[in-house]
Amino acid sequence: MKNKSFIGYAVLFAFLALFPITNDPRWLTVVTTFCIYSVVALSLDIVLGRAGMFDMGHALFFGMGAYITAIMNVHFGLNILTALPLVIIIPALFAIVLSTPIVHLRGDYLLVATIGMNIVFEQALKNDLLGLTGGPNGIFGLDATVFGFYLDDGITIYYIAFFLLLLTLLLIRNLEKSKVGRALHYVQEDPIAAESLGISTRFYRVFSFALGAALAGLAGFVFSIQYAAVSPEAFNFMTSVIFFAIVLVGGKASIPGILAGTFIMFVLPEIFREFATARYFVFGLAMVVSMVLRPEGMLPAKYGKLPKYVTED
Amino acid sequence: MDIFLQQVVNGLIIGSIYALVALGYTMVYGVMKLINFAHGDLVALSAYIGLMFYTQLIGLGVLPQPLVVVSVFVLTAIVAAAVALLVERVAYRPLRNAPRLSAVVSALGASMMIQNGIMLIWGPNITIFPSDILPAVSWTIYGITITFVQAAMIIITLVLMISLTLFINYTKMGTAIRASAINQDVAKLMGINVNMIIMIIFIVGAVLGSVGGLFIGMYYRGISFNLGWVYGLNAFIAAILGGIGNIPGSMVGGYMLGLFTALIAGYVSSSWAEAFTFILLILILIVRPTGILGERVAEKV
Amino acid sequence: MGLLELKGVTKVFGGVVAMDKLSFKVDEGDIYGIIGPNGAGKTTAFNCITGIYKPEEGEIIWKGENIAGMHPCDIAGKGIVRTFQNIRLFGKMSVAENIISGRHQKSKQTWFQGLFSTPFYKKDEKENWLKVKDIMKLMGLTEYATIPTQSLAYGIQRRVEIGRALATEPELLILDEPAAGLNEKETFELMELIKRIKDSGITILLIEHDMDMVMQLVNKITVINFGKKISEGDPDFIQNDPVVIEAYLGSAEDEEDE
Repeated sequence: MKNKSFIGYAVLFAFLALFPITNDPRWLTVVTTFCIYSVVALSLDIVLGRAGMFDMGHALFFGMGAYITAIMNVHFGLNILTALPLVIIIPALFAIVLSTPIVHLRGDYLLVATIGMNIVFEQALKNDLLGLTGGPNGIFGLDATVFGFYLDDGITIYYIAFFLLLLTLLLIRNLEKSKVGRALHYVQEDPIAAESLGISTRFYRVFSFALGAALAGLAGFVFSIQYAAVSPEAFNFMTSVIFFAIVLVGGKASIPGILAGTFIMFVLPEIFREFATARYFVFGLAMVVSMVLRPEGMLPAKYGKLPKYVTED
Repeated sequence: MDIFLQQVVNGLIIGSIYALVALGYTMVYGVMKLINFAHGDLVALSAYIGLMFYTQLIGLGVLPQPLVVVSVFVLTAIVAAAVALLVERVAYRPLRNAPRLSAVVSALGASMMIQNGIMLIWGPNITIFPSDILPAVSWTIYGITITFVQAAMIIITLVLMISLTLFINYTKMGTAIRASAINQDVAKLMGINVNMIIMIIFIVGAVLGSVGGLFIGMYYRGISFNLGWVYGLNAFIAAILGGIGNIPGSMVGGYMLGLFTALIAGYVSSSWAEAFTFILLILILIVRPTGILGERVAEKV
Repeated sequence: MGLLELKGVTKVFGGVVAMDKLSFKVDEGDIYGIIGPNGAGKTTAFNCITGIYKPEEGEIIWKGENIAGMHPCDIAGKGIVRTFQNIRLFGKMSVAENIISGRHQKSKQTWFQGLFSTPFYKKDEKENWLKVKDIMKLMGLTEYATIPTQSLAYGIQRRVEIGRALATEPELLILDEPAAGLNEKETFELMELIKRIKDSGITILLIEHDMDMVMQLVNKITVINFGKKISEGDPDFIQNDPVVIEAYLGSAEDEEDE
C-alpha cells in the first residue's frame, strides 16, 4: 500500500518536473495554474477537510496574497520579493482576526459568514478601497524582475509553482504526522471529547484558518506573478465555491483526493475547451454526480498509519 | 423625510421578494437541515419561464390581459414546482443519509446547473420584461408614489404569507410539516410520510419562489441568468436573520433586510450595499448565533 | 483539604433545576462513587466538574483553586479527565491514534516543529507513541492498534476510552457508567482494571448503576436524587440508609439509561 502511493507520487513529480520539455506554451500555463490551484485547494483542505470548518470564502486569502504583491510592486514600486513575507503573514493575521469570533458557529452559519467575508472582500476590491485595489479592472503591469531574471517567463514561473506545490505537499505530510494535525481531526470529529482531553477547539480551529490562509496567500503571490496582473473576478465567491467543491469531490483530508479533484475541476475543462460556455454547467453536473456516487469523495482519507516502532515488537 | 419614506416603500417591496424567497430556504432547512442552494436559481428560472409563457400567451391573443397574467403566474408555479421536485429527487434524496457537506456540494452543483442552463438557453445578456404586463397606474399619498406593480407585490405577498401561516398552523398537513421539522424519526414512527412532506415543502417553496421571480422581472424589468445568487443570498440572509427554520422569522427577516438594504442604498452607497448586508449578518451571528428570532439550542452530552 | 470539593453547585436548564446545591468532597486516593436513580443529575454533576456545563452557582475547588466555569480543555490540563456514558471515541481513527490524543497536553512539540519535522519533533513524537504502545499493552489493545474504533466491539471501545484517558496521566479519573453495556466477564475485568488504576496513584470518581460493582469498589458514596444529595457515607452505611432504599424503591420501575 505504502509502495503504491510512493510510486504514484514519484510518477506525478517526474511528470511535472519534465513537463516543460513538451514545449507547449498553452499547456505549460494550464499546468502552472494546476500547481497553484492545487496549493489553494490543499490550503482550504486544512480548514475544511482537516479541521471541519465550513469555509466557503477561501478565495479571500488567495486574493489577499495576490493583491498584496500587486499593490507593493505596482503602487509602491518595491521588488516583488519584498512582498514574500507579507503574503504569508498578512492573510494569516486576517484569518485569525476574522475567524476568532465565528469559529464556534454551527456549520451552516459559518458557511454563510465566510461567504459574506468573501463578498465584502470582493466589493472592497471593486470599489477601489483606499485607492489601492484598482477597482473592477484590478491592477496590472507587475514587474517580476529579480536580479535580472524574469520570474514571469513561462518556464521559470512553472518551476516556481511546481516548487510551491512540492513545499506545500511536504508541509501537509508533516502536518498529518504531527500532534497538531491529529488535533485538527479530533476537534473535527468530536469537539467535546477533544476538549475533555485538554485539546482547545478554539485554538485549533483558528489555527487551521491561519495556516490555510498563509498557504493560500503564498499561492496568490505566485498567481499574481504568473499573470502579471490581479483582478477581482479571480477571487470572488464563485472561485471559493469551486475550491470548496474540489475538496469534497476529491476527498476531505486526502492529499491524492485533493490533487485528483483539482485535476478534474481545472485540467479536464481545458481538454474540452470547445464546450467552454458550458463549463460551469458541467462543473455543476460533476458536483451532483460525484457526490451522489461517492459521498465521501473520490479518494477518501485513510487513517491508522502508525510509525513502525509502534506496530512492531 | 420624503426620501426616507420612499426608501421605506422600496424596502417593503424588496423585502417582499426576500421574504417570499426566504420561505423556500427556511422550510427546506427546517425539515432537511440543508441549505437548498438551488432555490435562488429556481427563482431566476421562474422569471425566464414566466416571460416565455407571457410572450406565448400574448402571441396567441385569445385571453384578455388580466387572465394572461394570472395564467402566467399559475403556469410558472407549476413548472417551478416540477423543477424543484426533480432537483430534490436527483440531487438531494440520494444524499439524505450522507455527510452534511456532500449534500451541500450537491446543492451547489444543482444551483450551478440551473444557473448555467439558463445562460445556455437564454444567453448571458440581460433579458428585458415588457413594461405593459401590469397597468402603469400609480398613486401619490403624502408625497410617496406607489405604482400598481408595487401595490400588487405588497398585497399578494401578504396574502401568500397569511395563507402559508394558516396552512402550517391549522391544517393536518401543516402539523405534519412542523412535526417533521422537530424530529424526522419520531414523525416517521407516528405514521407521517416524510418523503411526502419533503416533496410538499419543495413544492410550496418553489411556488412562493416563482412568484418572487416574476415580481423581480415585472418590477426591475431586467433579468440575468445569475440573479438567483444575488437574490438567493440575500433571501438566505433574511432567513438566517429571522432564525433559519422559523417561518414567521423568515418573513420578518425578509422585511427587515429589505428595509436595511433600501436605507443603505438611499443614504450610504449602493455599491457597498452587499458588503453592508453581510457585515450586518456576521455581526448578528456573532451576537446571536441562531438569528434574531431563532431558538437557542443546547447540545446534549 | 480534599483533592476535589464541590460546594453548593447548582445547574439550571430552562428553569428546571437539574442540580441543586450539590456538595461533596473527594480525597486523594479515593474511589468515590456517585449513585442515584435515573435523571437524578449525576451526569450533570460530571459535566459541571469537567467544564462542559457552567454551573449557575457554587464552587468547584480543585487543589484549592475554583475551576467552576473554566473551559473543558483547561480543566483537563489540570489533571481531571473523564470518559463518557455513551463512549465518545474518534471513530474513523485507529485505536492507537485515539490513545495518542490523550498525550496532547504532555507532548511538548509545537505546530512549527511539527510542520518542519525538526529533531525535537521526532524525539517527542517517538516518546509519545511509545507511551501509547505501553498503554495498549497494559489494556490488552495491541492487536487492535491500527483498527478504526468504530468497527470494534463495545467492550473494547470502553477500554480504548479508558486507555485514552489514562494517556493524559490524570490525577483524577472520572468514569461515567463504565460498566454500561458490558457482560459479566467484561465487568469483572473492568473492576480489576479500576483497582489497578487506583493502585497506580490515580483518584477515581465513578457513576455506576451496577450496585454490586459500586459496593465492592468504592470507599465513599454520595447518593443524589432530583439533583440533591440525599445521603453520603461508606458502602455499608449507604446500603442500610432508609432514605436511599426509599429513593431506589420509588423508582425501581425505570432502570434504564438516563
